[in-house]
Amino acid sequence: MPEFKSLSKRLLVWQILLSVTSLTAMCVVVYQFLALQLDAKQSTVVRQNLAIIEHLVAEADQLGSTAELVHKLTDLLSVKTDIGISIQAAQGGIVFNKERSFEANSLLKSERFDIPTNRWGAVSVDLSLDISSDRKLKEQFAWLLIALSVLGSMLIASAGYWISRSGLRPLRQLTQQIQGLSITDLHARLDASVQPQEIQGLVTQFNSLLVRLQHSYEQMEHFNANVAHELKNPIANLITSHELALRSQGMTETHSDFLASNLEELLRISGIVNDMLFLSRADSGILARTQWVESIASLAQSVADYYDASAENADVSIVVVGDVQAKVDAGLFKRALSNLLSNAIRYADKQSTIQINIQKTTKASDWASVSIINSGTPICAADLDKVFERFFRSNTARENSHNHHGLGLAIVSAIAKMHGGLAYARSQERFVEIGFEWPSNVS
Amino acid sequence: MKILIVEDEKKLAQYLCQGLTQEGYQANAVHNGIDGLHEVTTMPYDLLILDGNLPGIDGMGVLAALRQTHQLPVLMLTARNSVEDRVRGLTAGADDYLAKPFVFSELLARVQALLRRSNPSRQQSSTTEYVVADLRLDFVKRKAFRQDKRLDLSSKEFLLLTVLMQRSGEIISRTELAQQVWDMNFDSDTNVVEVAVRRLRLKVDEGFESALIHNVRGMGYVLEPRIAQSAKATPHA
Repeated sequence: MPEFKSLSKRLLVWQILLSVTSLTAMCVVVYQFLALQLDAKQSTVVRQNLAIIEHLVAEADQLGSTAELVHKLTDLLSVKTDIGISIQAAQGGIVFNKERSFEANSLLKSERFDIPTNRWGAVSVDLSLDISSDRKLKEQFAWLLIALSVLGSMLIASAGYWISRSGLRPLRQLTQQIQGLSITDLHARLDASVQPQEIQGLVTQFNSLLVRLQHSYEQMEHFNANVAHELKNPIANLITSHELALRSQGMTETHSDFLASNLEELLRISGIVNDMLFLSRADSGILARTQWVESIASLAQSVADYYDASAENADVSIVVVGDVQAKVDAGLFKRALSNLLSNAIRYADKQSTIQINIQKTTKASDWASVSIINSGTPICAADLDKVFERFFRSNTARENSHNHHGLGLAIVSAIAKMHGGLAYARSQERFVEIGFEWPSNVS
Repeated sequence: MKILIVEDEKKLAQYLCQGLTQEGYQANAVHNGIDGLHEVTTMPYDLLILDGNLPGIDGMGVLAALRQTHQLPVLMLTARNSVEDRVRGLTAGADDYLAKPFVFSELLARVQALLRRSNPSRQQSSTTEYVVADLRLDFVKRKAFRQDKRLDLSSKEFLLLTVLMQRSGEIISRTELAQQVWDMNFDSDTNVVEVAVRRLRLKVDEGFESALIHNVRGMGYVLEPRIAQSAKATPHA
């Protein structure tokens, strides 16, 4: 039995095998039964004729008239066209010989009997029976059975194909449902009500797995948020005390350098904590408070202005291309753009131009997209999806990791989600494009 | 100027008291909402710094009770930083809002701004120019001069210099500069501010005997005349 990957194919093959075997077996039995019946009928015919011949021979034996016997036998044969008779006396001399000249190739069933007589001693009778019509019947019957079993098998096969397809339809629907689950939506569940009983258990089990996944994810999220939250007060204390110490007079330069360095690190920690809290709030499904903005380009330009000095320092220029009207949360939008731009300036080739591209997307009629395109070291395909993960850094990014804690693009992705959109990254040859798209009339 | 601090984090309350006292204010701290409400309604304070999360009555409760009788400026502090909390605080009657962890110089700037707003008499007369040492800025004509030499500044650089001169002698944090000059109201890449200030310093201080714009490490920038480099300022930005 070959191993089939497809369940419906496997079912179908088994169904065909089963139907062919059972139909064949049935036909063989029916055929055998017919053959036995015909055989029995032939034996009966032979016995009946023998009884007649015995009677005739005994009569002739009493009367001593061979001519009478021959006459009667001839009469008999004229009625029964399917038998031939030959009678020989033991002392020699053929009493009667009417070996019928049956058609060539006709099949005969012949029997030899000995009948004791007074006059002629033991007389041997050869009785032959033409069974060609029975043979023909058997043959026709066999063909009929073969035809029926082939037809039956085909009928069963096609019905089986339909049954297995429709029987497995819930499974296909289930697969579609599972495929429809998004990795980003933790609240999605499968609908068990549309499934048959057998699959409902599986669906329920699958859903409870999803619940467990959601719980553990949320637990982790809460843990992150709680840790970040708990850190806020001690960090605030440390920052304030360091600042006060630095403001007070009469400290040696070594001490103040030491405190200032600590303060810088504390501000970094504070930044990470704030970003983590921002992300966990975004994850909890909070949506942006959007307002209609007439020109996204002017919003982008204000962010570009902010990076003016830093771009000049890195020997790159920034241009804003295109414009759309859209609903955005201006503060969040600027924050996302700021993160993208800061990222682009860090990795852009010297003397290149960074392009802030604003346009309507092809994704849907009322979606807008903003992306930042820079020339520089490309991001390998495997990393493209990971750039939005928290604390993700490609190997090249490690070099100047001191100032950047790797939450920038995660925040871009979170802000895109808060606008009902999503972030994307593309890379080709020496171009890197990172941006996000969102429904421009998001509420 | 009397300031009351209602903050249950005793250490932070103590630091704030200490810092504000150093800056010349009379500061007093209590550690729960009930004491806070009692203190602020019975004593003449000019400003209240109120933590959002308090034992007893929480910050919002204190604010709501206070607003029925008193109108003194209130600066809310909270560990939360969401827009919802902010809106809630402001609609409940807070005059300003600061999310923890904050930097002290920012708190100080907000305290000063609130006090200026509530005491218009103390506000600086409507001058059209600022002068610090030999640096002069005319913000009506949008021109700046050093030793009568015109400085060639971009509009953002002019704004940056205005903010620094307006509050000459105060340390202004990078975050605050990003907010005031570029309207970037979030934790942005403050390296950018550093680069912008460095560029401004080239135009303002380069080629002159004494530097006016100073980097205070870990804290921000200050514009003031200094005879010699003091211990806490480093010569580079």
